[in-house]
Amino acid sequence: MSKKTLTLMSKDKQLFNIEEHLAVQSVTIRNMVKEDGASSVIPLPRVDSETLALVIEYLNRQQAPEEDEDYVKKFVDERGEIPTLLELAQAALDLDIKKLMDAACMKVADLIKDFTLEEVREALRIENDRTPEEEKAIRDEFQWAF
Amino acid sequence: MIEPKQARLLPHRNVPDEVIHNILSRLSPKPLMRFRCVSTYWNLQITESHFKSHRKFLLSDISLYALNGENVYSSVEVPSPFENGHWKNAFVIGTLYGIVILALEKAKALQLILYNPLTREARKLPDPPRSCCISARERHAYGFGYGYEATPDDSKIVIGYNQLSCDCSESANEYEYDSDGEYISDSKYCHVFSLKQGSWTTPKTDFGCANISQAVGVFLNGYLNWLSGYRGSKIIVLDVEEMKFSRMGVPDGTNESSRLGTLHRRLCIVNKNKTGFIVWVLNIERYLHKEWLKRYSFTIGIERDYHCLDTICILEDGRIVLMDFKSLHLIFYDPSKGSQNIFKCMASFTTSGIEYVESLASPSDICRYI
Repeated sequence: MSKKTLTLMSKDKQLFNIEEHLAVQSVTIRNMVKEDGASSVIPLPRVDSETLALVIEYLNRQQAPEEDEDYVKKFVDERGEIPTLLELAQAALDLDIKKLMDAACMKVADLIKDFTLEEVREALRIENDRTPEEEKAIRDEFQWAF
Repeated sequence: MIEPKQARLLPHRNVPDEVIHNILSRLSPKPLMRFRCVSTYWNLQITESHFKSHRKFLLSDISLYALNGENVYSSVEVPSPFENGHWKNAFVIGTLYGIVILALEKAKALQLILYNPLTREARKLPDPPRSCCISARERHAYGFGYGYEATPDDSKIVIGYNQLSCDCSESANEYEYDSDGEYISDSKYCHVFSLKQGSWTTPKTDFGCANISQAVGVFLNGYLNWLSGYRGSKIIVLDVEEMKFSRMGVPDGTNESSRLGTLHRRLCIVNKNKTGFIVWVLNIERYLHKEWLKRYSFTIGIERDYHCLDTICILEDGRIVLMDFKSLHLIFYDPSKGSQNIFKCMASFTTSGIEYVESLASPSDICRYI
Protein backbone atom coordinates (compact mmCIF):
# COMPACT_ATOMS: atom_id res chain seq x y z
CA MET A 1 0.00 0.00 0.00
CA SER A 2 1.42 3.38 -0.91
CA LYS A 3 1.86 5.93 1.85
CA LYS A 4 -1.04 8.30 2.20
CA THR A 5 -0.31 11.93 1.44
CA LEU A 6 -2.03 15.03 2.83
CA THR A 7 -2.14 18.50 1.35
CA LEU A 8 -1.73 21.61 3.52
CA MET A 9 -2.59 25.07 2.27
CA SER A 10 -0.89 28.22 3.55
CA LYS A 11 -2.73 31.52 3.96
CA ASP A 12 -1.29 32.71 0.62
CA LYS A 13 -2.91 29.65 -0.98
CA GLN A 14 0.23 27.64 -1.64
CA LEU A 15 -0.11 23.89 -1.44
CA PHE A 16 2.30 21.56 0.35
CA ASN A 17 2.24 17.77 0.32
CA ILE A 18 3.29 15.71 3.27
CA GLU A 19 2.98 12.03 4.15
CA GLU A 20 0.16 11.47 6.61
CA HIS A 21 2.21 9.49 9.12
CA LEU A 22 4.57 12.49 9.42
CA ALA A 23 1.85 15.13 9.40
CA VAL A 24 0.08 13.60 12.41
CA GLN A 25 2.91 14.78 14.67
CA SER A 26 0.67 17.82 14.63
CA VAL A 27 -2.14 17.15 17.09
CA THR A 28 -4.41 19.46 15.10
CA ILE A 29 -3.92 17.46 11.90
CA ARG A 30 -4.17 14.16 13.79
CA ASN A 31 -7.60 15.16 15.09
CA MET A 32 -8.76 16.29 11.65
CA VAL A 33 -7.61 13.01 10.10
CA LYS A 34 -9.45 11.08 12.81
CA GLU A 35 -12.68 13.02 12.31
CA ASP A 36 -13.18 13.12 8.57
CA GLY A 37 -10.28 11.27 7.03
CA ALA A 38 -9.00 14.66 5.82
CA SER A 39 -9.28 13.69 2.17
CA SER A 40 -9.39 17.28 1.00
CA VAL A 41 -6.91 20.10 1.46
CA ILE A 42 -6.24 21.26 5.03
CA PRO A 43 -6.25 25.07 5.15
CA LEU A 44 -3.93 26.88 7.58
CA PRO A 45 -5.24 30.45 7.44
CA ARG A 46 -2.67 31.94 9.84
CA VAL A 47 0.48 30.32 8.45
CA ASP A 48 2.32 31.86 5.52
CA SER A 49 4.04 29.72 2.90
CA GLU A 50 7.57 30.51 4.08
CA THR A 51 6.77 29.36 7.60
CA LEU A 52 4.80 26.36 6.43
CA ALA A 53 7.79 25.24 4.34
CA LEU A 54 9.86 25.33 7.54
CA VAL A 55 7.26 23.38 9.47
CA ILE A 56 7.15 20.76 6.71
CA GLU A 57 10.93 20.53 6.78
CA TYR A 58 10.73 19.97 10.52
CA LEU A 59 8.00 17.33 10.25
CA ASN A 60 9.95 15.51 7.57
CA ARG A 61 13.05 15.15 9.74
CA GLN A 62 14.41 11.64 10.05
CA GLN A 63 15.75 11.58 13.56
CA ALA A 64 16.37 8.89 16.09
CA PRO A 65 14.29 9.66 19.18
CA GLU A 66 17.35 10.18 21.40
CA GLU A 67 18.76 12.81 19.03
CA ASP A 68 15.47 14.54 18.53
CA GLU A 69 15.86 17.10 21.33
CA ASP A 70 19.20 18.22 19.92
CA TYR A 71 17.79 18.35 16.44
CA VAL A 72 14.88 20.61 17.41
CA LYS A 73 17.26 22.93 19.21
CA LYS A 74 19.59 23.08 16.24
CA PHE A 75 16.67 23.52 13.87
CA VAL A 76 15.53 26.70 15.62
CA ASP A 77 19.09 27.86 16.24
CA GLU A 78 19.72 27.93 12.52
CA ARG A 79 16.64 30.06 12.00
CA GLY A 80 17.58 32.50 14.70
CA GLU A 81 15.72 35.56 13.47
CA ILE A 82 13.06 36.68 15.90
CA PRO A 83 10.31 37.36 13.28
CA THR A 84 10.84 33.88 11.80
CA LEU A 85 10.85 32.28 15.23
CA LEU A 86 7.63 34.04 16.19
CA GLU A 87 5.95 32.89 12.99
CA LEU A 88 7.24 29.40 13.63
CA ALA A 89 5.96 29.47 17.22
CA GLN A 90 2.55 30.59 16.07
CA ALA A 91 2.41 27.92 13.35
CA ALA A 92 3.46 25.32 15.94
CA LEU A 93 0.72 26.65 18.22
CA ASP A 94 -1.96 26.39 15.52
CA LEU A 95 -0.80 22.95 14.49
CA ASP A 96 -0.21 21.89 18.08
CA ILE A 97 3.38 20.67 17.74
CA LYS A 98 4.59 21.13 21.30
CA LYS A 99 8.29 20.43 20.84
CA LEU A 100 8.65 22.94 18.05
CA MET A 101 6.65 25.55 19.93
CA ASP A 102 8.76 25.14 23.06
CA ALA A 103 12.04 25.22 21.18
CA ALA A 104 11.08 28.34 19.21
CA CYS A 105 9.92 30.15 22.38
CA MET A 106 13.05 29.09 24.24
CA LYS A 107 15.15 30.56 21.47
CA VAL A 108 13.22 33.84 21.50
CA ALA A 109 13.59 34.05 25.29
CA ASP A 110 17.29 33.43 24.92
CA LEU A 111 17.63 36.15 22.30
CA ILE A 112 15.64 38.85 24.09
CA LYS A 113 16.88 38.30 27.63
CA ASP A 114 19.57 40.97 27.32
CA PHE A 115 17.56 43.33 25.14
CA THR A 116 16.70 46.83 26.27
CA LEU A 117 13.01 47.50 26.87
CA GLU A 118 12.79 49.37 23.59
CA GLU A 119 14.40 46.49 21.71
CA VAL A 120 11.92 44.03 23.21
CA ARG A 121 9.01 46.21 22.16
CA GLU A 122 10.36 46.49 18.66
CA ALA A 123 11.13 42.79 18.31
CA LEU A 124 7.73 41.67 19.54
CA ARG A 125 5.80 44.61 18.09
CA ILE A 126 4.53 45.88 21.39
CA GLU A 127 3.32 49.40 21.96
CA ASN A 128 4.71 51.11 25.04
CA ASP A 129 1.75 52.05 27.21
CA ARG A 130 3.67 52.32 30.48
CA THR A 131 4.05 55.77 31.98
CA PRO A 132 7.50 56.93 33.10
CA GLU A 133 6.16 56.95 36.68
CA GLU A 134 5.13 53.29 36.46
CA GLU A 135 8.48 52.38 35.01
CA LYS A 136 10.29 54.27 37.76
CA ALA A 137 8.28 52.52 40.46
CA ILE A 138 9.36 49.12 39.14
CA ARG A 139 12.95 50.24 38.69
CA ASP A 140 13.04 51.43 42.28
CA GLU A 141 11.47 48.31 43.69
CA PHE A 142 13.55 45.83 41.73
CA GLN A 143 16.86 47.63 41.40
CA TRP A 144 18.71 44.34 41.21
CA ALA A 145 17.04 43.51 37.92
CA PHE A 146 18.14 46.63 36.07
CA MET B 1 -6.56 48.82 2.00
CA ILE B 2 -4.52 49.93 4.96
CA GLU B 3 -2.71 53.21 4.56
CA PRO B 4 1.08 52.94 4.86
CA LYS B 5 1.07 55.05 8.02
CA GLN B 6 -1.54 52.88 9.68
CA ALA B 7 0.30 49.76 8.63
CA ARG B 8 3.28 50.89 10.63
CA LEU B 9 1.19 51.49 13.72
CA LEU B 10 -0.65 48.23 13.45
CA PRO B 11 1.75 45.37 13.95
CA HIS B 12 1.73 42.96 11.02
CA ARG B 13 0.18 40.67 13.55
CA ASN B 14 -0.08 40.43 17.29
CA VAL B 15 1.93 37.67 18.82
CA PRO B 16 -0.62 35.23 20.35
CA ASP B 17 -0.94 35.09 24.14
CA GLU B 18 0.15 31.48 24.27
CA VAL B 19 3.41 32.32 22.56
CA ILE B 20 4.04 35.28 24.90
CA HIS B 21 3.31 33.06 27.91
CA ASN B 22 5.64 30.38 26.68
CA ILE B 23 8.45 32.87 26.10
CA LEU B 24 7.99 34.54 29.49
CA SER B 25 7.99 31.20 31.26
CA ARG B 26 11.50 30.59 29.98
CA LEU B 27 13.03 33.83 31.18
CA SER B 28 15.04 34.07 34.35
CA PRO B 29 13.89 36.43 37.11
CA LYS B 30 16.15 39.30 36.18
CA PRO B 31 14.92 40.00 32.65
CA LEU B 32 11.44 39.04 33.80
CA MET B 33 11.33 41.77 36.43
CA ARG B 34 12.79 44.27 33.98
CA PHE B 35 10.28 43.34 31.28
CA ARG B 36 7.43 44.35 33.57
CA CYS B 37 8.18 47.78 32.12
CA VAL B 38 7.66 46.64 28.52
CA SER B 39 3.90 47.16 28.56
CA THR B 40 0.87 47.02 30.83
CA TYR B 41 -0.09 43.68 29.34
CA TRP B 42 3.34 42.19 29.98
CA ASN B 43 3.31 43.53 33.51
CA LEU B 44 0.01 41.79 34.19
CA GLN B 45 1.19 38.56 32.61
CA ILE B 46 4.38 38.60 34.61
CA THR B 47 2.88 39.51 37.95
CA GLU B 48 -0.36 37.57 37.86
CA SER B 49 -1.08 34.61 35.69
CA HIS B 50 2.46 33.78 34.86
CA PHE B 51 3.78 32.73 38.22
CA LYS B 52 0.83 30.74 39.40
CA SER B 53 2.11 27.52 37.97
CA HIS B 54 5.73 28.32 37.54
CA ARG B 55 7.47 25.57 39.43
CA LYS B 56 11.13 25.81 40.08
CA PHE B 57 13.66 23.75 41.83
CA LEU B 58 16.19 25.25 44.20
CA LEU B 59 19.50 23.56 44.90
CA SER B 60 21.87 24.61 47.57
CA ASP B 61 25.50 24.10 48.30
CA ILE B 62 27.82 27.01 48.88
CA SER B 63 25.67 28.88 46.40
CA LEU B 64 22.02 28.65 45.49
CA TYR B 65 20.79 27.60 42.07
CA ALA B 66 17.27 27.86 40.71
CA LEU B 67 16.35 25.48 37.92
CA ASN B 68 13.33 25.05 35.81
CA GLY B 69 12.78 21.33 36.18
CA GLU B 70 11.11 20.95 32.81
CA ASN B 71 13.69 22.68 30.86
CA VAL B 72 17.21 21.97 31.83
CA TYR B 73 18.71 24.70 29.69
CA SER B 74 17.99 27.35 32.22
CA SER B 75 19.61 27.24 35.57
CA VAL B 76 20.20 30.47 37.34
CA GLU B 77 22.62 31.14 40.11
CA VAL B 78 20.64 32.99 42.71
CA PRO B 79 22.61 35.59 44.57
CA SER B 80 23.17 35.02 48.22
CA PRO B 81 20.42 36.40 50.44
CA PHE B 82 22.97 38.65 52.08
CA GLU B 83 25.84 40.69 50.78
CA ASN B 84 28.38 39.01 52.95
CA GLY B 85 26.87 35.67 52.19
CA HIS B 86 29.49 33.08 52.93
CA TRP B 87 28.35 29.92 54.54
CA LYS B 88 29.66 26.44 54.97
CA ASN B 89 26.43 24.76 54.19
CA ALA B 90 22.90 25.71 53.31
CA PHE B 91 19.83 23.63 53.96
CA VAL B 92 16.58 24.31 52.22
CA ILE B 93 14.08 23.51 54.94
CA GLY B 94 10.76 24.25 53.35
CA THR B 95 8.72 26.55 51.18
CA LEU B 96 5.51 28.49 51.48
CA TYR B 97 3.91 30.80 48.89
CA GLY B 98 7.12 31.07 46.90
CA ILE B 99 9.25 31.88 49.94
CA VAL B 100 11.92 29.34 50.84
CA ILE B 101 13.17 28.79 54.34
CA LEU B 102 16.93 28.43 54.48
CA ALA B 103 19.20 27.39 57.31
CA LEU B 104 22.67 28.74 56.70
CA GLU B 105 25.47 27.16 58.63
CA LYS B 106 28.07 29.80 59.29
CA ALA B 107 31.36 29.56 61.13
CA LYS B 108 29.92 29.43 64.61
CA ALA B 109 26.25 29.87 64.19
CA LEU B 110 23.15 28.90 62.43
CA GLN B 111 21.08 31.51 60.63
CA LEU B 112 17.52 31.05 59.51
CA ILE B 113 16.40 33.07 56.55
CA LEU B 114 13.18 33.56 54.64
CA TYR B 115 14.07 34.16 51.03
CA ASN B 116 12.22 34.80 47.82
CA PRO B 117 14.57 33.57 45.07
CA LEU B 118 12.60 35.48 42.47
CA THR B 119 12.48 38.95 43.99
CA ARG B 120 15.65 38.27 45.97
CA GLU B 121 14.06 39.64 49.09
CA ALA B 122 15.51 38.08 52.23
CA ARG B 123 14.77 38.43 55.93
CA LYS B 124 16.59 36.91 58.83
CA LEU B 125 14.55 35.18 61.49
CA PRO B 126 15.40 35.77 65.16
CA ASP B 127 18.16 33.46 66.35
CA PRO B 128 17.15 30.30 68.18
CA PRO B 129 17.19 30.69 71.97
CA ARG B 130 20.31 28.68 72.48
CA SER B 131 22.94 29.17 69.87
CA CYS B 132 25.56 26.53 69.53
CA CYS B 133 28.51 25.78 67.38
CA ILE B 134 28.50 23.19 64.69
CA SER B 135 31.32 21.57 62.88
CA ALA B 136 30.87 19.88 59.53
CA ARG B 137 31.29 16.46 61.04
CA GLU B 138 28.62 17.01 63.59
CA ARG B 139 26.03 18.63 61.45
CA HIS B 140 24.16 15.39 61.14
CA ALA B 141 23.31 15.88 64.72
CA TYR B 142 20.97 18.54 63.41
CA GLY B 143 17.50 18.02 62.22
CA PHE B 144 15.48 20.74 60.51
CA GLY B 145 11.87 20.71 59.64
CA TYR B 146 9.01 22.83 58.42
CA GLY B 147 5.41 21.94 58.94
CA TYR B 148 2.02 23.09 60.14
CA GLU B 149 -0.95 21.93 62.17
CA ALA B 150 -4.15 22.53 60.28
CA THR B 151 -3.24 25.18 57.73
CA PRO B 152 -0.03 26.76 56.44
CA ASP B 153 -1.05 29.98 58.20
CA ASP B 154 0.20 28.45 61.41
CA SER B 155 3.54 27.18 60.21
CA LYS B 156 6.40 26.09 62.37
CA ILE B 157 10.09 25.65 61.86
CA VAL B 158 11.69 22.97 63.97
CA ILE B 159 15.36 22.64 64.82
CA GLY B 160 16.45 19.65 66.78
CA TYR B 161 19.99 19.29 67.95
CA ASN B 162 22.21 17.46 70.29
CA GLN B 163 24.04 19.12 73.14
CA LEU B 164 27.07 16.95 72.39
CA SER B 165 27.81 18.90 69.27
CA CYS B 166 28.70 21.88 71.44
CA ASP B 167 31.65 20.04 72.91
CA CYS B 168 33.17 19.76 69.46
CA SER B 169 34.90 16.54 70.40
CA GLU B 170 37.82 15.66 68.18
CA SER B 171 36.99 12.07 67.57
CA ALA B 172 33.74 10.32 66.93
CA ASN B 173 35.03 7.41 68.99
CA GLU B 174 34.58 9.49 72.09
CA TYR B 175 30.86 9.31 71.66
CA GLU B 176 29.10 6.56 73.45
CA TYR B 177 26.43 4.61 71.69
CA ASP B 178 23.47 2.78 73.11
CA SER B 179 22.24 -0.60 71.97
CA ASP B 180 20.26 1.07 69.20
CA GLY B 181 23.37 2.60 67.71
CA GLU B 182 22.24 5.98 69.01
CA TYR B 183 24.61 8.55 70.46
CA ILE B 184 24.09 8.80 74.15
CA SER B 185 23.44 12.37 74.96
CA ASP B 186 22.33 14.22 78.05
CA SER B 187 20.16 16.66 76.27
CA LYS B 188 18.57 16.67 72.90
CA TYR B 189 16.89 19.98 72.31
CA CYS B 190 14.11 20.89 70.04
CA HIS B 191 13.41 24.54 69.28
CA VAL B 192 10.30 25.60 67.47
CA PHE B 193 9.72 28.90 65.68
CA SER B 194 6.13 29.84 65.03
CA LEU B 195 5.76 32.04 61.95
CA LYS B 196 2.37 33.17 63.25
CA GLN B 197 3.65 34.21 66.68
CA GLY B 198 7.07 35.27 65.44
CA SER B 199 8.84 33.68 68.37
CA TRP B 200 10.80 30.65 69.51
CA THR B 201 9.71 28.11 72.08
CA THR B 202 11.46 25.07 73.47
CA PRO B 203 8.83 22.43 74.08
CA LYS B 204 9.50 19.94 76.84
CA THR B 205 10.24 17.10 74.55
CA ASP B 206 13.21 14.99 73.70
CA PHE B 207 14.29 15.28 70.09
CA GLY B 208 14.81 11.59 70.43
CA CYS B 209 17.75 11.05 68.17
CA ALA B 210 21.17 12.48 67.64
CA ASN B 211 22.40 10.98 64.41
CA ILE B 212 20.12 12.09 61.66
CA SER B 213 21.11 10.98 58.19
CA GLN B 214 18.89 13.40 56.32
CA ALA B 215 19.04 16.80 57.97
CA VAL B 216 15.84 18.18 56.50
CA GLY B 217 12.70 16.40 57.62
CA VAL B 218 9.86 15.50 55.31
CA PHE B 219 6.47 16.97 56.19
CA LEU B 220 3.27 15.09 55.43
CA ASN B 221 -0.23 15.31 56.93
CA GLY B 222 0.80 17.01 60.16
CA TYR B 223 3.90 14.93 60.78
CA LEU B 224 7.57 15.64 60.24
CA ASN B 225 9.70 12.62 59.42
CA TRP B 226 13.47 12.28 59.68
CA LEU B 227 15.53 9.35 58.54
CA SER B 228 17.89 8.65 61.39
CA GLY B 229 19.50 6.16 63.68
CA TYR B 230 22.63 4.18 63.09
CA ARG B 231 22.88 3.61 59.28
CA GLY B 232 19.37 4.92 58.75
CA SER B 233 17.78 2.28 60.88
CA LYS B 234 14.62 4.18 61.74
CA ILE B 235 12.46 7.19 61.13
CA ILE B 236 11.74 9.72 63.84
CA VAL B 237 8.27 11.15 63.53
CA LEU B 238 7.20 14.44 65.08
CA ASP B 239 3.55 15.24 65.57
CA VAL B 240 3.67 18.97 64.80
CA GLU B 241 0.52 19.80 66.75
CA GLU B 242 1.28 17.80 69.89
CA MET B 243 5.06 18.21 69.59
CA LYS B 244 5.50 14.57 70.45
CA PHE B 245 8.09 12.27 68.94
CA SER B 246 7.67 8.65 67.97
CA ARG B 247 9.63 6.14 65.94
CA MET B 248 8.87 4.11 62.86
CA GLY B 249 10.61 1.23 61.08
CA VAL B 250 12.19 1.42 57.63
CA PRO B 251 12.08 -1.00 54.67
CA ASP B 252 14.89 -3.45 53.90
CA GLY B 253 18.00 -2.00 52.41
CA THR B 254 17.56 1.44 53.97
CA ASN B 255 20.82 3.04 55.03
CA GLU B 256 22.33 6.47 55.51
CA SER B 257 22.33 7.08 51.74
CA SER B 258 18.58 6.53 51.46
CA ARG B 259 16.32 9.48 50.81
CA LEU B 260 12.99 10.09 52.43
CA GLY B 261 10.36 12.01 50.51
CA THR B 262 6.74 12.05 49.47
CA LEU B 263 5.22 10.41 46.44
CA HIS B 264 1.61 11.29 45.61
CA ARG B 265 0.86 12.28 49.22
CA ARG B 266 2.48 9.22 50.72
CA LEU B 267 5.75 8.86 52.55
CA CYS B 268 8.36 7.17 50.40
CA ILE B 269 11.98 6.07 50.63
CA VAL B 270 14.44 5.79 47.75
CA ASN B 271 17.03 3.14 48.55
CA LYS B 272 20.22 2.61 46.63
CA ASN B 273 22.05 -0.64 46.12
CA LYS B 274 25.05 -1.50 43.95
CA THR B 275 23.12 -1.63 40.71
CA GLY B 276 20.13 0.61 41.05
CA PHE B 277 17.43 2.24 43.11
CA ILE B 278 14.33 0.89 44.79
CA VAL B 279 11.38 3.10 45.70
CA TRP B 280 9.21 2.16 48.67
CA VAL B 281 5.98 3.79 49.75
CA LEU B 282 4.32 3.68 53.14
CA ASN B 283 0.92 2.14 53.02
CA ILE B 284 -1.35 2.99 55.93
CA GLU B 285 -4.20 0.52 56.24
CA ARG B 286 -7.17 0.55 58.49
CA TYR B 287 -6.38 0.65 62.23
CA LEU B 288 -3.29 2.64 61.25
CA HIS B 289 -1.38 -0.47 60.36
CA LYS B 290 1.69 0.75 58.52
CA GLU B 291 3.51 -1.24 55.91
CA TRP B 292 6.29 -0.40 53.44
CA LEU B 293 5.50 -1.58 49.92
CA LYS B 294 7.99 -1.83 47.10
CA ARG B 295 6.69 0.48 44.37
CA TYR B 296 9.29 0.12 41.63
CA SER B 297 12.99 -0.09 40.97
CA PHE B 298 15.07 1.68 38.39
CA THR B 299 18.58 2.03 37.05
CA ILE B 300 20.11 5.02 35.38
CA GLY B 301 22.79 3.71 33.08
CA ILE B 302 25.42 1.07 33.63
CA GLU B 303 28.32 3.44 33.14
CA ARG B 304 27.50 5.26 36.35
CA ASP B 305 29.20 4.49 39.60
CA TYR B 306 26.42 4.03 42.11
CA HIS B 307 28.69 4.95 45.00
CA CYS B 308 28.73 8.46 43.62
CA LEU B 309 24.99 8.78 43.09
CA ASP B 310 22.76 10.42 45.64
CA THR B 311 19.07 11.11 45.63
CA ILE B 312 18.46 14.82 46.19
CA CYS B 313 14.69 14.90 46.30
CA ILE B 314 11.44 13.62 44.87
CA LEU B 315 9.42 16.18 42.92
CA GLU B 316 5.68 16.56 43.20
CA ASP B 317 5.07 14.98 39.79
CA GLY B 318 6.96 11.87 40.92
CA ARG B 319 10.24 12.59 39.19
CA ILE B 320 13.35 11.83 41.18
CA VAL B 321 16.28 14.21 41.26
CA LEU B 322 19.67 12.54 41.57
CA MET B 323 23.18 13.89 41.72
CA ASP B 324 26.20 12.12 40.28
CA PHE B 325 29.13 13.48 42.26
CA LYS B 326 31.68 11.91 39.94
CA SER B 327 30.51 13.35 36.64
CA LEU B 328 28.75 16.33 38.30
CA HIS B 329 25.53 15.52 36.55
CA LEU B 330 22.15 16.37 37.88
CA ILE B 331 19.67 13.77 36.74
CA PHE B 332 15.90 14.15 36.60
CA TYR B 333 14.51 10.63 36.39
CA ASP B 334 10.90 10.26 35.29
CA PRO B 335 9.53 6.86 36.42
CA SER B 336 6.32 7.18 34.38
CA LYS B 337 8.33 7.25 31.15
CA GLY B 338 11.49 5.56 32.35
CA SER B 339 13.32 8.53 30.88
CA GLN B 340 15.93 10.86 32.27
CA ASN B 341 17.10 14.40 31.71
CA ILE B 342 20.72 14.97 32.49
CA PHE B 343 22.67 18.14 32.77
CA LYS B 344 25.89 19.44 34.09
CA CYS B 345 25.50 20.90 37.51
CA MET B 346 27.40 23.71 39.12
CA ALA B 347 26.20 22.86 42.59
CA SER B 348 28.81 20.19 43.12
CA PHE B 349 28.37 19.83 46.85
CA THR B 350 24.66 19.96 46.88
CA THR B 351 22.97 18.23 49.74
CA SER B 352 19.45 19.43 49.51
CA GLY B 353 16.97 20.79 47.06
CA ILE B 354 13.34 21.80 47.07
CA GLU B 355 10.59 22.43 44.59
CA TYR B 356 8.82 25.76 44.99
CA VAL B 357 6.31 27.86 43.11
CA GLU B 358 7.54 31.28 42.13
CA SER B 359 5.66 34.23 43.50
CA LEU B 360 6.15 37.86 44.27
CA ALA B 361 5.31 37.33 47.95
CA SER B 362 7.47 39.04 50.49
CA PRO B 363 9.03 37.21 53.47
CA SER B 364 7.05 39.55 55.69
CA ASP B 365 3.84 38.19 54.14
CA ILE B 366 4.46 34.87 55.83
CA CYS B 367 5.89 36.21 59.07
CA ARG B 368 4.89 39.72 59.94
CA TYR B 369 7.19 40.03 62.92
CA ILE B 370 10.38 40.23 60.90
